[in-house]
This record gives sequence, structure tokens and C-alpha cells, in this order.
Amino acid sequence: MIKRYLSLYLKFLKANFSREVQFRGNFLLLNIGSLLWSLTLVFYYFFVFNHVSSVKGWSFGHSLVLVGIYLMFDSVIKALVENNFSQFPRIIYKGELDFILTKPANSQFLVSFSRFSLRNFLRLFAGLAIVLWSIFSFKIKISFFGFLIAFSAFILGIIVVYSLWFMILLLAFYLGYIENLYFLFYPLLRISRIPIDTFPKPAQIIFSFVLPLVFISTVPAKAIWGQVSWQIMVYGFFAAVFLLYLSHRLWNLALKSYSSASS
Amino acid sequence: MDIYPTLIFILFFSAVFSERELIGNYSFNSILVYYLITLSLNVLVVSHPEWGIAENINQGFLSSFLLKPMNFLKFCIANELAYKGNRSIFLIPFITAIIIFVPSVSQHMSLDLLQGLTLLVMISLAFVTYFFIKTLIGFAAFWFTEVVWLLGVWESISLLFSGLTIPIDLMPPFFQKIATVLPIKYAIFMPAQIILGKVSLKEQFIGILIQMAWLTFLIFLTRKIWRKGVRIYSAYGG
Repeated sequence: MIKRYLSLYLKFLKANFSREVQFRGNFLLLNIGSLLWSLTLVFYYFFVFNHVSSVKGWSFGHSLVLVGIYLMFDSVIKALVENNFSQFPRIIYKGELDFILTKPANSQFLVSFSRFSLRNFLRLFAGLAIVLWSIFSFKIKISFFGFLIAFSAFILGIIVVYSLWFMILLLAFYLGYIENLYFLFYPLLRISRIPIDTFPKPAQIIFSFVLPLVFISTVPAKAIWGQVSWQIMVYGFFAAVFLLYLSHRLWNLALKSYSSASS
Repeated sequence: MDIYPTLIFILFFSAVFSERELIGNYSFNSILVYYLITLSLNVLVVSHPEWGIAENINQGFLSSFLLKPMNFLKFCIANELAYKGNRSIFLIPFITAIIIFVPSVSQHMSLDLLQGLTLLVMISLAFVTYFFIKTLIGFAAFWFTEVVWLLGVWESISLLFSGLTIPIDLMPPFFQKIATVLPIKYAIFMPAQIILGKVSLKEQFIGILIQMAWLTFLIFLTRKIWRKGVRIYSAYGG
């Protein structure tokens, strides 16, 4: 079954790639715009660390690794779901969901992943470049094992964010047409631009356990220099699986109140 | 109003100030006040005509404006002014509430009549300056169909040098010098500093002169680009 969905996704990728590069000039310029914008964050840290050497254990180098990972995360999650989730309320309101429900594949999969976006593609490489550059120029101690943990935490982060975001969008079934529903959750991701362990204690607890956004950038970054406990990784694994399962259950529940109006 | 980025900067600064009490001339309280003021100024000063203009050009709606006996730019600026009026309905109670309920705000503010007057001039000039810059971005739609990328480039520059990201006087000297010659420092950062009573009258005067120079240049450029743009405007979809 996994093979079938992978090959399906590969076909989506091919079709979407041709669509995205159809207007080549625009595609390139969009990416350059997005790249420049991501640099403002680097400047922010540069200016702040001109005045202090470290903030609650985070040095300039450490913070830059975090920024790099955040940019990579932002690029990946947007590539995966941006074009799907922004259409979500409309699909339900206009009754276009009919076309998806009648296809012989998992409807949640189709709703979430059939459109791939490359608008922020360069940001992925910019993020990677920032991570590597800061590791080498600030001589941050790393290990292969650390990278492996960081990568797993990153994947957990993707699953967590996907599930939370998807569940918020399900409100579209009940609230009718809200075009901005897409923006209800997205801004919350931005808190990962700064290390979550510099937050006040209650906020730290919320973002580690209730809405585990700590897996977007803070945990992967700390994993690189080996500061992550195995407990939090285990917790992350169960939280991701649970949230994904919950999103699927809620999707099935929400479908029951789909009226297929106006189709 | 996009308050999330500012909220995040404030959050991080609260951690920074747990390491030491003063950064530059700022305490945590004064930086909090600074961000509140810049946020409000941002709502007041920055306009967004670029979306409407680009859409009118892309979809061919511009044709109907060209045929009517009225000036398209004047229409846009009236539109933005009305929108600002609307926004003020929300902004004014917000600011009043902050001044009343956050005592440190009024402690840090210092404004006399003359300062209030220069502030008013500066903010008005800033509004028009932003309007023309955004209009130029919208006009890019005559040549490029999409303008989102250009807006991205502009936003990056403007976030840094308007003082919305971090107070400009906390930047290294090199960046401060760049900010001095750009118009946006005088749109948000300097008005905020005037409210906080940190700018001498001479500096305010120079600021207004720089703003006027930029404005003259922008008006000239906008007219030129408009004429060129309308000539190559192909009205498809209209």
C-alpha cells in the first residue's frame, strides 16, 4: 500500500513541478524574494548578539543553526501543504470535495498532498547553508548520531505541524466559508524562530507538551550538538503518532457533516 | 495588523534582558514601549495600494479607469486614506488603552506642542512616501505579471531599516549609516524616537528635509513610470 501511495505522490510531484516552472522567470524571482526575506532573521540575531554573548545558553552560532533549521522547516512544510491547505475552505464550500471523495485513494491524503509548491524552494538550501556555515565557523561540536536524531526530530516536527494544522482546517466543515482559515495556525509556527527554551516557563511547557512545536527547530538544533534527552524524543514520537491518528479520526468525523452543497 | 513578528522579538528580548539590564540605551521596559509605538506607527503609516494596482493591471480592469475622466492615482490614494480612517477606529482605542493601562508607556513618552507638530508633518510625509513606493511596486505589474517577489524584496529592506525589527540605534554603525539615507527610517523609527523624546529639533528638521527630497524623487519617478506603463499596457482580460 505504501508503494502505491509513493508512486501516486511521485506522479503528483511530476505534474506539479511542470506547473510550477511554467513561468520560469516568476518562479526564480519569487524564490529570490523569499530568500532575501529569510535573511532579515539572520540580521536580527546579528544585531542582538552584538550586545550580548549568549542568551540563556544560546550563543550567536547556536541561534543561527536554529534559524537555518527553521527556514528549512518552513520551506518543506510549505512545499508539502501550502497549495493544498490554502484551497481547503473553498473545496468544502464549493462542494469540490466530491471529486476527491469519489477517487479510489485515501481522501485525507489527496486533500493534503495533491498540490506541491516550489515557491520557497531556495529557502531550503539557504537554511541548509546557514546551518553548515554556522557549525563550521563557530566550531560547534557535532556528531553523526546527533544529525540522525536531529533529522528524526525534524520529521516528527513535520508530522506534528501537519496534524495540528489539518485539524484546525477541519473547522471549515462547521463554520462555512472562511477564506483566512489557512492563516489561523500558520503564524503560530513563527515562534520557532527563537529558541523555545528562552521562553517563560509556562510557555515552554505548552509548546513542548500540549502543542509540541518545539520539534520544529529547537529540538533538532539542540540534537545537533547533543543536548536532547531521549525522553523528549520518545515523547515526540508518541505525540506525533497520536496527533496524526487524531487528525484522521476527526477528518472522518467531519466528513459526516459534509453536505456536498452547490456541487 | 501583523503583530506576530514583533511579539516574537519582544519575547526574545525578555530573555536577553534577563542576562543584563541595559542594552544600548534601552531597558526592557523602554524597548517594550518602543515596539508598541512602532507597531502603531506601522498601522498608521504603511499603506497597501500595490495589490489593487497590480490586480487592475493584470486583470485588465485598468481600462475602465483610463476611459473615465479621473486620475487613477488620486483614486488609489483616496482609497488608502479611507482605509486608514477605518483602521484608526481600531487603532485609537488600542493606543488609548495602552497609555492608560501600561503606566511605563506614559513615563517614557515626552511630547510638547512643537514636537507634536513635527511628528504630524513627519507621519504625513511618511504616509505619502510609503504610498508612492508601494504604488511603484504595483506598477511593476506592467512589465512582470506577478509582483509578489518585488514586494518580498521591499519588505525585507523595510523591515530592517524602518526599525520594526530592532531599534536602529542598536545596529552596528555601518547599518545605521545606510538607514540614515533611506526614507523609511523617518517613517517609523524617528517618529517613535520623537515620541520617546530622544531626538533633537535639528535632527528632526534634517529628517523632514530628507523625507521631502525622497518624496520629490518618488513623485517624479511614479509619473514617469506611469506614462511608460500605460503605453505598454495591453489590457488583456479586460
